[in-house]
Amino acid sequence: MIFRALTRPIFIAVCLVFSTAALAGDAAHDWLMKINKAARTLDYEGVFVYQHESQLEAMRIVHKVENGSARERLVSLNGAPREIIRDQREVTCYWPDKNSVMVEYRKADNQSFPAILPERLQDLDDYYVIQLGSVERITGRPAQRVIVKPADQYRYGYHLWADQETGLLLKADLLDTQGKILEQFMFTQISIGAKIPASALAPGMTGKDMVWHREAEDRKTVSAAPGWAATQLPRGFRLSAHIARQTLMRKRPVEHLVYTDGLAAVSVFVEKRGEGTKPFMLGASRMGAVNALGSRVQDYQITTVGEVPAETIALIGGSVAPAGK
Amino acid sequence: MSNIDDMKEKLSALVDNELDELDERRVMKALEQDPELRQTWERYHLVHSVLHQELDTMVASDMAARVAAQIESEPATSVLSQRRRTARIVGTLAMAASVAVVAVAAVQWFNRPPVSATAALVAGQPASGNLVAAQVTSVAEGQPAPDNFIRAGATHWDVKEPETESTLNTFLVEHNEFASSSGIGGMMPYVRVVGYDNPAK
Repeated sequence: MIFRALTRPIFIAVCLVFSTAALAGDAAHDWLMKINKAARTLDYEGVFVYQHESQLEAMRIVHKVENGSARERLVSLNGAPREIIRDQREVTCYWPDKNSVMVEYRKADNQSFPAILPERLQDLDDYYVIQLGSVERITGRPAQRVIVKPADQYRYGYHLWADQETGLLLKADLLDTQGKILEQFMFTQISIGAKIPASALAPGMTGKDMVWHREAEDRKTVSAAPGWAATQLPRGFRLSAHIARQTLMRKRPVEHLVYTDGLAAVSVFVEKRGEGTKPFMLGASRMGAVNALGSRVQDYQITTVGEVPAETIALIGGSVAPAGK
Repeated sequence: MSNIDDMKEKLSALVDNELDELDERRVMKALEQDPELRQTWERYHLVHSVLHQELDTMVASDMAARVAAQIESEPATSVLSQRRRTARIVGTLAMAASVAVVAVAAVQWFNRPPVSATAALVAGQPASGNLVAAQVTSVAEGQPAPDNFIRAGATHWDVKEPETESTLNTFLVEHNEFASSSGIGGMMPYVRVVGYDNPAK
């Protein structure tokens, strides 16, 4: 009797602890979904700063959804007015400092901007600890903080601040495996839901005197089995896309493999080098939080790129081999 | 054929990996001693990469004309020796295409910073050892060569090299389409491509 009297409250307390933990996890997941959805479905226009290493950039973003299809424009406000316009069909990059315009056709999803799949969201718990933080004030608006901590050294962590009302991401920190900030992004001015004129989404330059690199539109979005594969992957990473494409500049066939753990993505590009082509690009390179590795397998140039630690790129990129061998 | 022309011919062959070992060593020696030759070597390399990889590049008509004029004012040998160029190009390419290609090479060349790349690299941070080694292997088939011109020549993983930077950017844009499917979502991944006009040192 005494035993039962004691165990019962403990049992209830244990149940409570577990259920609140589960609820907290669910709430954090809900916020991740909300952030993801808001970025795709809302109309917004704003200026944000982006900091990487010692550099600080200011950019303007305009996002509009019309008849279920989104169009986005991103313009650099410092230095050369580089610009990217993205819609359902293509991504156009204007690089006035390089006097070139690049057009890529979208392959990931023809219907809408990609979203996180809920089943992948549950998997995330195996590689990340996702928690809700406090409500803070960002750009004059109350924002819910979401903390995403990596469970191992193969992925970065994130601190996200989402607009409490709409879920739009107002601020984000990208952290390395030691918890040091690698990149920061924050809106300094934002207008959500206001009417956006079509002119706000038009490119600021015609590109008339610029060199255009246009990807062939009849690209094949893979049905054949990949000819190549990464033989070593950190826990949780799996093949999520496989595309046979042509390199934009050189019109050579390139096999593009995408591996993701649900949050972080790594791309592997495999290109055959013929006679008399330029030297292989070998070695590691870094652009802020993005790491890249060039390697060579037989006559093939392997280029591995991703927003993950150098260790992850080295592991994946270094293990690429012809599939089935 | 004069000695200089002969050397330029050999340089061009070197860029194409067509020299025998003895000649290769001889050219390397000459490169070590002659700064002007080193500059020529750099230029050949640039033209070589463009000729072999960016044939499909479209050039805005007025720019092509502008650059073509610039090229015309230079003797043909300053790009590739006439004989080699004829042998190499005419059979396979329409003349217009080759003009466009060379125009692109020239534009890239003229866009380079006024300080010679060689000098800047010698004064600046050294490339890491294995990069240099990789370059030597691919360029000169294992021949050791003075490293002050190796880094200036062809492409390597240095984001300051315009060609490598654009290659990386192209891959990054292609990758971004999938990176943006992550929870952070939206335009974030593209921010890097737009923002990185001054890669951090």
